[in-house]
Amino acid sequence: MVAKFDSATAMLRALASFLQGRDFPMLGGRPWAEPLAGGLLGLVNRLPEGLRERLYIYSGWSEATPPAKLARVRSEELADWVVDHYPRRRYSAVLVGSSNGAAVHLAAALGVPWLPQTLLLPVRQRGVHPDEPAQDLEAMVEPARALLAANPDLVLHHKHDANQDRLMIQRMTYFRVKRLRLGAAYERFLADHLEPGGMLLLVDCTLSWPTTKVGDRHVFQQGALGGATVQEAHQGSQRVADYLRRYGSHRRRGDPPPPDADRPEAEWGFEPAMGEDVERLAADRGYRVRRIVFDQPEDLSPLVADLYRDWYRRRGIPAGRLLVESFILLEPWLALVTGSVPLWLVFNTEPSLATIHRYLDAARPFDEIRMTLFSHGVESVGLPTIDQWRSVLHRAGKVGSFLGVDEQAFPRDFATLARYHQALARVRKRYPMPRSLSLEELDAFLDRSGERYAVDWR
Amino acid sequence: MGAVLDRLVDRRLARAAGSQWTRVDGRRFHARHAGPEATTASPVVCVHGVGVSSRYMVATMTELASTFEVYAIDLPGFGLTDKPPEVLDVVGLADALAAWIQVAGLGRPALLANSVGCQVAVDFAVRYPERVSRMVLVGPTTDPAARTTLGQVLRWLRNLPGERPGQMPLSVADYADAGVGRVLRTFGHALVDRIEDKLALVQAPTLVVRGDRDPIVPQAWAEEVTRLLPHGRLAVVAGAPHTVNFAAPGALAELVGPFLVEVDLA
Repeated sequence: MVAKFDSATAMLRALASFLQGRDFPMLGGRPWAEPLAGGLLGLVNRLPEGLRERLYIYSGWSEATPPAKLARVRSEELADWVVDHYPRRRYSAVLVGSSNGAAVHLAAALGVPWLPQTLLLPVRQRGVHPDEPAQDLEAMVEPARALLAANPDLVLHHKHDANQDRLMIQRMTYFRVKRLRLGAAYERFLADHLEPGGMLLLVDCTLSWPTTKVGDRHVFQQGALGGATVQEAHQGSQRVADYLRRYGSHRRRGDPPPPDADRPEAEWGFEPAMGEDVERLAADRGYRVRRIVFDQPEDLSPLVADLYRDWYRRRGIPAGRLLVESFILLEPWLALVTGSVPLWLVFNTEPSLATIHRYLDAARPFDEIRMTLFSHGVESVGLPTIDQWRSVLHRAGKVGSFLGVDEQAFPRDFATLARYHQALARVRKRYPMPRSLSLEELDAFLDRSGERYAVDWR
Repeated sequence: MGAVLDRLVDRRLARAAGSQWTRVDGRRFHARHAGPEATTASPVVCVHGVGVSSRYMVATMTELASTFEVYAIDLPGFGLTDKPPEVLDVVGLADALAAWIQVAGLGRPALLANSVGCQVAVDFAVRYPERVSRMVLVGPTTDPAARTTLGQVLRWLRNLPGERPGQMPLSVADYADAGVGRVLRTFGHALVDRIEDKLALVQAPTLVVRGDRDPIVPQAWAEEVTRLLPHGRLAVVAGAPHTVNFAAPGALAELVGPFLVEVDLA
């Protein structure tokens, strides 16, 4: 029911692999199949563009759930599925809340799990044009009602992004569900696996988006964080018009239902109701709570990168390797094994390119810069060229390289999903896995330098 | 037959780079030379790989010759240079290179080497640091992850289809000159030469160049070479095999030219 290709799932699996003492080949696929998949997808990269796009659409559709089955979804089963990923032991802390690649690296450093608030349930649909968001909404009202009736502790964010998800939304709809409460499965997991008096770290990304209320616990979101701005998603722009013309659309701007309020962004934003529930549970059970509050998903990335760099320095490891990660192409285990400073980027678009350049402007130079680069199949608004991405690599003192990227095929490089891990796994000069950072060490780092970042620790 | 082939091949090459003979310790060294009459930049000395000779460097020499005075040496036992009675190992070849550079009066040249030539250049740079200004290592061998005869031969075979067919007659002439026995024994010497132990001692700024279709020098090894060099930098040439200097001389010169005229910060 839950999408494998989604941020929450990939991050959950990457972190679970880490806590099991493993790296993360092929987004959690079978390690032995990696070379084969890399080869086959390499052939796919050579197919004509149209055919490659059809395959991408099909891969999304094949994971999606028929609308009629949504009524069978139970939020507690989803939560059970989440916690089943993690090794059964006592943790000093547990992260709860927003999906965030930097938070995954923070959790890995601390050696603790993360309980996601948001999951993606892709729903099959057909016959709705990508540039007809109102039709998509209408077609999904009934399945949404059935889903929500059966799950009173979920709020549904129906997201429609004809810019970056143009291929996927031809045969599926993005239903993101956010938990309003921890629920029985998460509470049981905490009772069994969080140390008495342990710490709940609430990952609270305050990113919001103009949305339309469809019904009780049901909102509709037009557009998403990425290359196009909020305004462009709703009012359009010249480059949106150019983009739609390029893709042969009958429209020159999106025509979404009018938004009525800003609400948590579907994929990254934190729904505050769950925060209250976490506070309640902590008060009942004597846990400590700390909120990690930030506005943009990438705000946490420089802080976590510098935390790693500081950690390497204290361990006597040269801290001159940077691993730039794109969206779900992340590798917490190999980051530490190769002594790489992880800097997570939310996607492959212009604002993310600006983030990495800003980080490099402020940081001491890196000898080696390696970068994963996600391909979503669309030459969407605000997508930098491969040359612009390469400019990041040129900032390395010695070695700048893409990890398993087919530069000619970007942004339709589907082989990278099977290749980025392999490329990173081949990097030589490795370091032993350190013991986890303690919360005290994290605090000491924050005391030394916490003010520098756009992150509020409450 | 070797001599006939030599004449055919060399007549064509001589148009781009003339032969130059130097007597060093009683032995005649052959090198090719091209470039402007007067230039302020350090001369560039090209060092060939195992079995081959200055011949496959001419394409790169031609690209660089408008700006730099470029030499390509035939190491003793290869190409047209006299054969020593013994088969020199990497250290012996580096000593011979040093002696020739001194007698030829080249001062403190930059070195541009390919394949096993990189091992000779690195050994030279470590033991004669005052005699080298900069280095370009194109496809440096030998990757310790495949330090076996079988491992290297398999990689060499995988590389072959990616090389330009035009290299074939040059290589045949080169192997005929050197003799198969000398080629194989030099390869054996190169196999046990631990370049990875020397790289950290190289003081010269060094550009490592790898063709991204080079199975003999995988990306991870090229990165490791660069990491170990105190003043190293890696550049990757898209679509090129092991012998970038022959297969993609234009792309190589575009990287090498600016690197050779950089102001030394090291």
